[in-house]
Amino acid sequence: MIRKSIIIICLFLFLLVATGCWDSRTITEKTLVNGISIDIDQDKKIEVNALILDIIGRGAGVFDFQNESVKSIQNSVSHAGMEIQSFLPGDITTSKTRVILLGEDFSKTKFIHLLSTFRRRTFSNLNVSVAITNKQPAKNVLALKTVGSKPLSFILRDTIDNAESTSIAQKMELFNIFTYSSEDGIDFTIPVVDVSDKRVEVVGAGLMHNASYTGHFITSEQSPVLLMLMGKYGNTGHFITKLPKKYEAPYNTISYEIIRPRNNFSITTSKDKIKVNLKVDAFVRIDGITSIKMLQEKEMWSIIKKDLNKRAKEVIKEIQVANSDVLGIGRYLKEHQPEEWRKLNWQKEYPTIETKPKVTVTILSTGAIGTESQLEE
Amino acid sequence: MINNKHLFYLIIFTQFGVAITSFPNNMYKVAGHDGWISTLVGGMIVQILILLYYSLYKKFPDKSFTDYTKIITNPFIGTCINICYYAYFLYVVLVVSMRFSDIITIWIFPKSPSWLILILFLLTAYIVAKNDILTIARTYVLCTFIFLIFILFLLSAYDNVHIGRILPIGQYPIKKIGSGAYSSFLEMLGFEIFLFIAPNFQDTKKKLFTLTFANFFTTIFYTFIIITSYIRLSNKENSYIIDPILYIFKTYHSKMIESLDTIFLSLWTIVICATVVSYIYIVSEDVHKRLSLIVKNRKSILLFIIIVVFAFYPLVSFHLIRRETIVNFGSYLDPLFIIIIPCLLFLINKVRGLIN
Amino acid sequence: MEVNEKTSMLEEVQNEFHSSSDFKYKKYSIGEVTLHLCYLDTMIDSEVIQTHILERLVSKDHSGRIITTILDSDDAYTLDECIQAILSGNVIVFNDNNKNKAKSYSAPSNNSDRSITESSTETVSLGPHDSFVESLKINSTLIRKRLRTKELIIKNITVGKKYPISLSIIYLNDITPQSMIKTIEQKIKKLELSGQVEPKKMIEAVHIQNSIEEYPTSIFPQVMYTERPDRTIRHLITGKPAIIIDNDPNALLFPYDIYGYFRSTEDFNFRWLFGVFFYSLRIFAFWIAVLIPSIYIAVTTYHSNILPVSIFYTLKLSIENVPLPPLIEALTMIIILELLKEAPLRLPNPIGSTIGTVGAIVIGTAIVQTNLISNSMVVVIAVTAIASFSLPSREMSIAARIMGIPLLILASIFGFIGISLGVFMIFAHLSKIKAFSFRYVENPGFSEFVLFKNRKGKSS
Repeated sequence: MIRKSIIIICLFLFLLVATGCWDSRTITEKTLVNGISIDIDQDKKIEVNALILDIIGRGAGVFDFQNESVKSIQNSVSHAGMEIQSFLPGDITTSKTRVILLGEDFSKTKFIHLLSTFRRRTFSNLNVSVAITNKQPAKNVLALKTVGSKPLSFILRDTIDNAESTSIAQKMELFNIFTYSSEDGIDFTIPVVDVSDKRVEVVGAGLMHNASYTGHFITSEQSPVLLMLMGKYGNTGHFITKLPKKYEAPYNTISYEIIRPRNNFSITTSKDKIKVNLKVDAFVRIDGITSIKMLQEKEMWSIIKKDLNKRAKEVIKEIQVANSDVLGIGRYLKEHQPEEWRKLNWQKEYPTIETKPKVTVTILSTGAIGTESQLEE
Repeated sequence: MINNKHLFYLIIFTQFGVAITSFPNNMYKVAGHDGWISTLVGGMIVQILILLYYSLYKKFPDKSFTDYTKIITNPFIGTCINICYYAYFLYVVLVVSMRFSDIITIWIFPKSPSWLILILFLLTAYIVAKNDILTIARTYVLCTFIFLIFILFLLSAYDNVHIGRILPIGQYPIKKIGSGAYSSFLEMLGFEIFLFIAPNFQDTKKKLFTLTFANFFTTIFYTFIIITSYIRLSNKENSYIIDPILYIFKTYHSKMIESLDTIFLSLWTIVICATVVSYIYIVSEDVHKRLSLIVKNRKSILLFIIIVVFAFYPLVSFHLIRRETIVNFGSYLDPLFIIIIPCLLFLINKVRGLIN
Repeated sequence: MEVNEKTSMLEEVQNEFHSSSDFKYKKYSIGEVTLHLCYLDTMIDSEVIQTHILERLVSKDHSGRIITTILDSDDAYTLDECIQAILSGNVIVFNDNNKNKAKSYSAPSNNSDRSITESSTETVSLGPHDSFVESLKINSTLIRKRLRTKELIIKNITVGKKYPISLSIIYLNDITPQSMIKTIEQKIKKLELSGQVEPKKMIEAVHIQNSIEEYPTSIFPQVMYTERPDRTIRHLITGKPAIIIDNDPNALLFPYDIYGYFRSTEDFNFRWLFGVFFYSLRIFAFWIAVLIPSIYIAVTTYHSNILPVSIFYTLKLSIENVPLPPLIEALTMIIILELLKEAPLRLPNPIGSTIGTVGAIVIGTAIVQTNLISNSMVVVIAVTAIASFSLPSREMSIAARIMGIPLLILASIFGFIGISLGVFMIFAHLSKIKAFSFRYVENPGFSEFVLFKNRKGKSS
């Protein structure tokens, strides 16, 4: 018994000494890449800018942070990553990256293949938010480095998360992009960000087609409607409707929220013409009415209904012009009527199909104030 | 003496092995997005084999398989068949260990040499397998939480699914679904240990029910896994991602934990080790029974087996034997030992019974 | 021993004990009757001798024989019996007529017995507060007065040739299988015969424990020591025996399954929900104490990609300037903690509590500020210690902390894989331990808490 335990203890100690732990990557040696921006320039070389966040402890729980940005221009993303690793001490890791920014030029290429290193390496993070920068290379946005007093990548990630929850952009992370871009018959949207006045904001949802950016984006006023039609609504969405002309500005807006809309679509193919009927049930909570005179509930209802239907039609027209099938009609045909699908050339067919959206509105509540307590002048 | 609950756990832990992480990928390559139908059909093939094994068991209720190969055929041929079975089980252990060290080297420890993990793995298998079968079965019973955690993790994948990815059903030709059923059957092996541990049973009641229930559980679980992977990842991704289950776990994100694949793989190591433990227990127990005069201790036989298995590793890493050769060998060995030989034994026994 | 013709037994007895000053030989004669008394002063109650033997000298019955009113009396014919009787607290009385035959009267003194108070280690807030003392007789009384059934059997046996001790095996005759009792007796007798303990040492509770356990080399305890009679009663009612050793206030409960070490006596006195809650909390605390140091080391060394960002930065801050590798840090912290726990035990009370508080706070803060050990490591090891101290059984809490150390080493070499394979090995070890067909790890026994539906417990 004693001999057995002595043998085991000796083995342990031997293992302790002998291994050297090839794989130990202690926390202190790691340098975290927080935000990455990828651009492509004229000679088809890829420029990668990375934001590194360094935390410097001043003892007893107080710390300072420091944002550095590093740049590298190479032939591929992984090559640029290798060069960046040679600039920096420690073992860089992308496992805590918060956001990847794609420049507009870069996003118009088939960037899925250029980003393939994020898929193959087993330690990368697939939960990064992806955003396209509006009409500028991504490094301009990344050059801000800090917004207010917080590092850029955290702010950007929070902004994009907020946009997702208020249904301005679809919930799209890197792994979702890989999944959707390898499917036929469906396209997706990526949030488009822009810099204004030293702050970043999400200006809309960029339409993709065949996994590259079409150049069009739906503005942030219209994109909740689009997301409602797609069925990818977030938690809530804010809408503003202007009242008809008899009400004068500025006392002519209704603002409301729509929560948990229901949608379905039905597709009929008859005589080689595809007709799509989209139905959306919207449940409205009124947030504010700025008209002077009191409005009846029926009046509000008809105004909102007319406005939403008009907007839905505009959105549909926009996405058909951009040839981006975000509603998933092609995928539906592929799954449910595969013989029809095989006969179609969806690229040409999609802009010509007839899509009829219909929005039915139900007013759930008008907030804490009813409809009859507006002040009479 | 093990009862039915222990038998159930033994069979489940031996059936679930290292191939589960790449299971949807393998099925997609053969049967397309109808792979889940092939899984169900594969479960039915297993059920037919279970009926065959059960009827063999019924004829010799207290003997292990290695005993009645000698009774049905003559002792010399029986001993040859037994030795072939021992070699086959060692081959299975070798393949499982190699695949395990490959997965760990790719996903968790890229820079460490893979024989290091293999040492720890085989050492654990040795320590667990040197107990008797009742202790091994009770250890497996203690590890039920692994399956619950696995189901919980799989449910986390359901926020991004699109069911239409497995539509339209039945698009692939029957031949493809059939060959998919065959490959899924090959991944569900492990129930054959039922014949080898037969002398340790407490009674002979309800064995068929236990076996069927174990098979049902395994088939449903495999189908659940493959459907989750098919509806979460797009069709093309299923065809080229090697370990779709680990990929799905890697994409999980929450405020508390960033990715689940490391945790899952560490817990699944226990199930993989359980597969190896079952097989080396059977081999060492049988060899000890035959050679009990020469070798006093079952432990020394176990140690010998472990060293033999480990000795293959340098042969592979120095490219003396190619890895693909070893793995492809299995496609000949598996049907031979699992289907053909028991069928032949059953028929010979039937014929003998009719003659007498 | 044969009685020498020349010397009578009385003189032999006197020769055996003459060098010990507490051996007294007294001769009392009243009238024609002379009585020779031999006894050990330290073992008898002189009040009993005076009242019940000597006073009776003056009254005789009609046949002229001395009547004594002592209950426990025996005849002692050989020298060995005389010596044994004297050593056990009896008085040997020789009549003047026959100096080779003696009667022994039992008159043990009880002024060396402790009064029954609550034991300091197993206190409850709701329940009886008496506990066992050092006398076998009083302990048996405490049990007998609670279980008033004729099935309760107290079996006294004496073990040990050179230094005999007496112990009693207590069991309920109708539910305890007879084979269990026989096996226990055989094992204890084998202890005496095997010569493993005597003559260098004396047989004590720990030797008895080692002989009746089936796996004495395992870390996990398989017998339970308790000082409380109500716990012993609960154990007896489930059909298992208890062993009480003389001069030891701990009763040995055997066989015990692992879940018994997580139940304190209070759990059964409270309402069912509290009992279940605290029981589950303790099982959880056990696993925390075993696993948390190794998980911490594995995560910070190998698997930091599973941490969310905020925790990552916090840990990075705290580990930043520490020079030692995490394994050495952890081992150092464990050693310091054990020392801090042991030191106040050795010092007298006021100094002990000061050192404990001062040591913990000052050393803890100072070590962190000099960057020798990181903040988070102190937190982890402190949580481990607190979790292990919350277990009601001392052996289990030590076992939990000791088991964490090999897991720690495995985690620092192999990361999470090492932890899970280590846990697998621990499960295999736990499933192996059994005693008398009761397995060590069986059903968790939630049905023992009142108001749960009772299911028949099977042993498998």
